[in-house]
This record gives sequence, C-alpha cells and structure tokens, in this order.
Amino acid sequence: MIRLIKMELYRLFHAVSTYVMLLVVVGVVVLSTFAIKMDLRMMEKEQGVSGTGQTQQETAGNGSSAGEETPVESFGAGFTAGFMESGEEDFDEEGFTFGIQSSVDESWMDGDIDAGEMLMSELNSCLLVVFIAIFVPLFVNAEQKKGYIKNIAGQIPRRGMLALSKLPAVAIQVFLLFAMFCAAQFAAGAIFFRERLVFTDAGAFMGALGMQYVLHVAWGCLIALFTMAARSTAFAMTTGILLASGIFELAAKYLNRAVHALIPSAGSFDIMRVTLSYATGNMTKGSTAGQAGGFMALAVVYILISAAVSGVIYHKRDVR
Amino acid sequence: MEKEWLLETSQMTKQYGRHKALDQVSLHVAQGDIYGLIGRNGAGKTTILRIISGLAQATQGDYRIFGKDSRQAALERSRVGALIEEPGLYPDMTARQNLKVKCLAMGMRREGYIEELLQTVGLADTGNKKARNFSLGMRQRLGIALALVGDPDLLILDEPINGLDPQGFVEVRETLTKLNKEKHITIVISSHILDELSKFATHYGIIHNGTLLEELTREELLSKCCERIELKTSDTGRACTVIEAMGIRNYQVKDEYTIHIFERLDDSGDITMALSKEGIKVLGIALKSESLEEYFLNLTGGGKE
Repeated sequence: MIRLIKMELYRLFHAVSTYVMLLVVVGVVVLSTFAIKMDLRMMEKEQGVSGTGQTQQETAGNGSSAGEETPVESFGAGFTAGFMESGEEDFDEEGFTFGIQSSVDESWMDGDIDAGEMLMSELNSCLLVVFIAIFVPLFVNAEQKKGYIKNIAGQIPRRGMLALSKLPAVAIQVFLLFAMFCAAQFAAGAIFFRERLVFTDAGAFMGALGMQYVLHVAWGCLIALFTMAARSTAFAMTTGILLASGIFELAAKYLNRAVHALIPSAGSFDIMRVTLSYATGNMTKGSTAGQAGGFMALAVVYILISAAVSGVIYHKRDVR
Repeated sequence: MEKEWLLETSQMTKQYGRHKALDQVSLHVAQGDIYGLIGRNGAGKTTILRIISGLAQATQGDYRIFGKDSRQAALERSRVGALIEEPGLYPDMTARQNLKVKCLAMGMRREGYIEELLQTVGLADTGNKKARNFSLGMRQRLGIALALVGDPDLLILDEPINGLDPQGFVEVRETLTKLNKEKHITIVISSHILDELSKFATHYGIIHNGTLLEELTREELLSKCCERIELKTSDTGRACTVIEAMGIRNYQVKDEYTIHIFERLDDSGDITMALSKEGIKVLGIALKSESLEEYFLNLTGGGKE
C-alpha cells in the first residue's frame, strides 16, 4: 500500500496538470478577490445614491436571480429561483440556489476586512470544490485513460489497493489546492485592500480552516469515486461541478417533501443536512463545536464510503 | 508422472453478454517456452492474455500459474509481467519516469535498475525525450521494459510486434530471445502473423473464434509445413522396413495409413516400385508442401471468416 501511495505521489508531482492546476487557482482567486473589491465599490456607490443602508443582492458575472431579497450581499455565477425569507434556514425554503456564489459582508464597505472571513466566504461558496471537481478526475483517471493501469493492475495481489492508494494522493492534491487557494486569497486581499485587510481570531479561523480542509478532502474522495466508477473524466467533472453548484438542493426539496408526506413523524428530517455542499456552505468561524463535530463525522463517513466502494469496484471489475 | 506446467488453463470460458469470447480453452505452457498464441483479430488471444495476466476474470473454468490456482496465486502475481494491447505510457513522462512509476509500485529500488532495463530494450539513450515523441517501435520496447519491472518469470505479450517495421521486429525478436535464453523468462506472445512468430516461438497454440484448435511444438509445426512425400499405404509397418532398406531415415508415421518422408523428394517413383516389389499396396503418393500461412488458414477454415 505504501509503495502504491509513493507511486501515486510521484505521478502527482510529475504531472503537468498539477502545476497548471495551481496556476489556474491563483488566477481565479485573484479575479474573485478583485470581483469582491468591485462589488464593494458598486455597493458604496449605490448606497451613496439611495442614501439608505438597506441590504441588496449583488450579482456579478453570468449569474441571474429571481425572487425576494436576501439578507446577504453576494457575487458569483449562478442562478437563484423561488423565494427566500430572511431568518429561515436554506433547507426550509421553497426556492433553490444554483451556482457558485459567495457573500460579501456589508461592513467591509467602509470598515476593516477580515481576511479569515473573506476566505471562509469563498470556501463556503464551493468555489474550491469546482477546482477539485476539475483536477481530481484528471489525476485519478490518467492511469485508466493512458492505459498505464494495465502495466500494474495484474501484478498487485489485491487490486482494490490501487483504488485506495489514490485517496491519500487526492488528499495531498486537495492540500496543494487548498494551500494555494488560501495563499493566493491572502496575497490578493493584501494587494487589493492593503491596510484594510486584518486578521482576527486566529484560533477560530484555524479550526474552521482545518474543518474545511477535511470537508474538501471528502469532496475529493467522492469525486475520485465517481471517476473510478464511471472511468470517465467528463462524467466525474460534470457531476462534481453540478453538486458543488447546488443541483442536489432541488432534488433534496422533493425528497424531503416525499419523506415528510410518507412519514409524518419524520419531524425536522432534511436530506440536505447530510450533504457535503450543506456542510461546506455552513462551516464558518462562528460554527459551534457541535456543528463542527457533525460536519467532521459527515466528512469521515463520505471518505470511508468512497474508499470502500472504489476499493470494491477496482477489486471486482475487469481492467480495461 | 504428469508434466508440471508453469501455466495451464482448464476449460476457460469468458462471456461478454451473449458473446462467448473464449470457449473452454485449455492451453499449456512449460518453463522456458516461448509460447506463440496465434489467431486472427478477434479470435480471443487478448482475452486469454488478459485473464492470465490478472486483468480480467474468467466466466467459467480456471487456470493454474506457478502451480497454484488463480485464487491462490495472488502472491505470485508479481512474477508475471504483461504488455496487453498497446503500451500504456504517460506521454508527458520520459522512459525513465515511466519506469520509475512502476518501480515504485513494485518496490524495486535497486541502484541502476532502470538503466539496466533501458539497456535491455535498447532505449538507454532516450534521455529527456517524452514518451509522446517515441516511435511505435520505441513505445513497444518501453512497454516490454515496463513488463520486465519486478523481474518476472513469466512475460505475457499481446501483439508486441504489431505495426513494427522489419527493423523494429528484428529488435523486439532479439530482445525476447535474449530474455528467454539469458534470464530464463518464459514468454507467452500473441500475434496474428504466423510467419513472424515462427522465427522464434518454441511452442504454438492456434486459436479461432474463441476455441483453441491445436497446440504443437515448433518441430511439429515445421514438419506439418515443410516439403515432403506423403505416402498412403495399406501396411505402414512393412512399408517402413522397405523405405529404411532404401536408406531413408528422415520419415514420420502419421497414422495407420500415412507416412511422411522428408528426404529424397525426387525418388517417389523408386519408393513406389520398391513397395510394389514387396507386395505392399500403394494407395497414393504425392509431393506436398504447405507454407505456415497456408497451414494456419487451412486449420482455421481458409480465408473465409
């Protein structure tokens, strides 16, 4: 197993796509931070014109929205349907949000900008998950796509190990993405916001960041499972991006309704609570220990299930 | 005592949906053989090789490898190197890097091991050239080098000479012969080109439509294909005495009525006379020759599919 992990890591660090991935992340993070700056400027202008401190939704890029006002300022690319009411949690709403949207704190317009909160807001938006959905399948499926798997699969006593060895490599790949994402975000924040960028509550931030890393590793393992199961980079990428964009939210609403209709005693059952997109979107510096523990357990379950299923698939299925 | 095979399949069948890719194939490979698996495209060669190299599972039947059945052979797997279909390479890596990936997986850390492999297959001077820029022959040779990682005792090669130019073919043939002779590696090699295999294989299995039609040694194959007098007579025992009395030593009794004579091919008239003189009825005598290709085509039902 250690040998196979070494092999995967060698492959990871010798693949051109690994370095392309890191460059792309830096580029997108810089753009996204610049978009925050533009958003804040626009909000300042609008506030100056209206002379009120009312909240409003800001959508930049190719996103569109339909519905009532939300209590947050947001930017990104996506589509919001239905209506949302402030004070209620997302999973109780009739509408659903599709796309990558991160929120901008209104207080950032004229006050300090907390670097930790800005980063967490980006992580909550699942923007990094989109990169994971693109680059994990490229890495995991390369062996299958290039046919290299035929050189080794026959000589490994337990073929399932080939699948399991990919997951630590995926965790490293996610770590590289994560580290680059954070570093680029801080650097871009420092460039665009200069002395307004501050760093507060390091303990809470580090805890939340660690949890986000585990959740992102769980995303990586899940997307690796899709790749190995379908033997298709395109399928895994599309599925991962759609899930990160919140497509499951729509299905979840119907599932929730069906469960509540069939089992009236289901009470507060909400399938969204066991999804990675919910956990990723809600793990913040302000999350309680109970919430964080729940998210950690959820991530571990996803990692274990992905490992078990991908191991069985590799063990049972003929190598093509 | 029954012969101990290094590799033996028993009634092996592989079914994909309704299509039977292999139908009860039983082949036998001994230590030190270069076993040529011959068949047309789609005959089932790759399927057999995929199963015995551990990439696929048989639907029915089993195989024994190094004296163990397929389920117990997990730990022997590292003794089998395989190149199935076209070589699987990382195009953005050099030959060394491609080999390094497999060396890491197999735990091969010997100093100079990769250089040794590159030397064996004649790719030592490829330097930093990426695999994507390799010629077909170089790719095939790198594929063989990859199959050799882990110092296998059995090498399984699926059409490694396919698409090679004559020079490339000679290089691969020499490499394989050297591995067989010097490192005592048993080789199972498939091809649809009998002529190429006949230059170095020691044993042959002929497969057609998923069925193994015949297994034979190089000598048996050559004797079936070379020029000969085919004598049909009512009494092969007495006929042998007569032809030996004529000084003919190179002959084979094929069945109750048939003798193949491989020398003095111009003397069929004299042989007929000598037999008649001894009162042995000659049912037929003819000079026959068959090329390897003709033999293969006749066995697999001619040119018709």
